[in-house]
Amino acid sequence: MISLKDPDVRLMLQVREDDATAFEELMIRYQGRVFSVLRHVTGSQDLAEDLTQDVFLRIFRARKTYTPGAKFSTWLFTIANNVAINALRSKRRKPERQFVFSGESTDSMATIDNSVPENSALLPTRQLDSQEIRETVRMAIATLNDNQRMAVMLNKFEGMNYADVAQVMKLTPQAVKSLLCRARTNLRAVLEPYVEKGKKIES
Amino acid sequence: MQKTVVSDNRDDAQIGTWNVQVKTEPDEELLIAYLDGELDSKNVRLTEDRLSQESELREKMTVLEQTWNLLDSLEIVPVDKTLVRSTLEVVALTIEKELHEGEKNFEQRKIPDFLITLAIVLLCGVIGYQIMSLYRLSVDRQILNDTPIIQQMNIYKEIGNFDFLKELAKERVFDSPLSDQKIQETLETELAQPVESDEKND
Repeated sequence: MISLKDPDVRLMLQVREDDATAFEELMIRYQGRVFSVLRHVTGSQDLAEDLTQDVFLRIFRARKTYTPGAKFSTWLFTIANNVAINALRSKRRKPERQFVFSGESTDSMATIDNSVPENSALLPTRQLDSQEIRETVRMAIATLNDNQRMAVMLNKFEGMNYADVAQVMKLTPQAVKSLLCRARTNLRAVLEPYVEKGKKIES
Repeated sequence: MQKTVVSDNRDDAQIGTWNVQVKTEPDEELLIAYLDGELDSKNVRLTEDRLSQESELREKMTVLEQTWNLLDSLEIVPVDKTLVRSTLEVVALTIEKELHEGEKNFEQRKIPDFLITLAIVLLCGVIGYQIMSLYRLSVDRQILNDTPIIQQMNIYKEIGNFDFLKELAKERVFDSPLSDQKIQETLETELAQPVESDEKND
């Protein structure tokens, strides 16, 4: 069985047998990755931490019913995706301002209406520093819808191919292809003016 | 600042006062799939042929690639080091809770188990009592039926011959309540008769 060659699947099978050390090992291996994806999808560090904990708790609770099927990371991110969808849904039920990431103060909210003119005013006149580029990229990601954001994170940062992303998001590979295409086209539209400036920074 | 590109795309992004409605062109889908390595060999060859011939397509691909690469500038925020510990603590609490619930369920199940056992024992007792009662009744009936025979058992034993007893029953010797003495007389008479007939025969 292919999945049994996956060392993380073997670890998860140990977790199924109530091996706490194996669970800790899995957490150490994956919590950063899960947190990173959830942070970009939700736009909040605190929420992402809570959700990361929730993801691992769900995994632990589901340990007895775990059957090695696909790659462990695919299963893990499927749970993470479900957790994120639920969180974003309940977040949307509460009236809240639209948000973008902001530098160090990770939980602070700022409306795009305010941040875009500020950034766009910087565009023609001077080089952007790496922090500003980062802010702009975060802002560009924040403009994507939830599905696009999740697909981008999985594809870009988890290195998943369309089939894996499709499995995680319960879509067809063709739907993922279209989703990623729209996401990247939107990103291009926002980031294209910054490309040259980014080059200058790198150089 | 207002920037509008007309599109029929449903997943258009909203960027503050920018109304970015980006049209996804077939070429872009092809180029993105090419960049992601999701094209089959035939389409890879076709795309590469086009890229070598069409400078506009090459430019498009470059921009797509560069904007995609800008995402690498996102810093990796290290996860809180206490997260593993706090999650493990929550897991430990979960296990404790599960165990507690398991014990609680077991205790809750104990009462019905006890009641079920008691009910089974009682049922067995009732059934046993009924069977014994029926058995005793049948024994009593048998004794009652056999009472007349038992009463005259001594006489029957004395006769000793079963065929002869049958003969006597045909003659209704046992039907009326007779005293032992009378039966004895009757028997003697009866016993005497065949001897006489034998003598006659002789």
